[in-house]
Amino acid sequence: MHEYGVTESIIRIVEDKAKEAGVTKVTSIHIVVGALTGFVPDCIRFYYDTMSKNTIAEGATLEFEELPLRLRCRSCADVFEPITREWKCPACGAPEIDIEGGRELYIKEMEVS
Amino acid sequence: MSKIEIIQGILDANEATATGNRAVFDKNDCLAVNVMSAPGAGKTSFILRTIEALSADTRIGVIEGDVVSTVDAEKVHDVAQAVIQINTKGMPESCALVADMVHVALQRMPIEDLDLVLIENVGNLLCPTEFDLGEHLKVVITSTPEGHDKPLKYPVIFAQADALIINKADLLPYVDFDMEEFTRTVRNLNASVQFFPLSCKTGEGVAEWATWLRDQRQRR
Repeated sequence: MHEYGVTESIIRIVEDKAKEAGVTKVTSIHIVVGALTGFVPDCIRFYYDTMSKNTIAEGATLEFEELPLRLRCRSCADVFEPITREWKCPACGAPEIDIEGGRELYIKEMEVS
Repeated sequence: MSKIEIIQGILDANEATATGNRAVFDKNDCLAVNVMSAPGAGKTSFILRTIEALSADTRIGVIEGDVVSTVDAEKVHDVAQAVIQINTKGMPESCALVADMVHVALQRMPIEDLDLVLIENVGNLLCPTEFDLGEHLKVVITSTPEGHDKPLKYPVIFAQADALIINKADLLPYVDFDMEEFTRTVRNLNASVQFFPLSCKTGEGVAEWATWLRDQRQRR
């Protein structure tokens, strides 16, 4: 639902970086998405095909790397990836946690020619 | 063919605008509150009750976010010092407010004459978690008919909340909402959140919330 703005942002960042580096063609973009974000890769791809037309990054392949949800136990500080829907620390069994990872959304690198 | 490392957050531009908004609120000694909930939980009723409870000594502005329509802004218009309507239909993000929309609203608001700005986000428990608006406090409303399992379905918004309003508390005898289970689930995700069970219909519990909010403003 909000992938339009995100896609616009991706193209803007890539265009800026390409200009800075003096390259003429971006062939692939590596995007990191946390498991807990609401962003849908297929939806970004859908917008990207249209929105990247006539830009330096037209036709570039989008590669998505999903980072797992990671939680930190507030009792014993163990960091874990929950297996079930129940977010309980596997080390000490405590249910009180903080979200440690899984909300990432960034461009890691791009391939240019 | 070569690789260029980037490592740049895709939402960095939104965060920069949000930081700018926060600076404007700070400069004008104005507390900004982002009010979020699912559709129908009672955001507008809650804002009306908050204005009613605080308006004697607090100058309040409201930013109303909606996909379409101005019905909420019309309801708030007579009681708030200033109301700005944002319609997200046709904007890049229609499912949540983003920092730039608040930035534009602030230019049309007499911010120097306000003590508190209540921002009514678009009814949605997922998308608003991604976009910082420059607010000082995030308030999430759950209404009792929605059920106590909402935090398991939308953990991020509950983990982010500074205050959690449990609205429609007058319906507790009629719905299967387990208050203890709900507060425990939220507490497991969020150690510092404050709970306020209240009813925007009867007004019960609103005073406790208003006292807390007034205290938050005075602390800044």
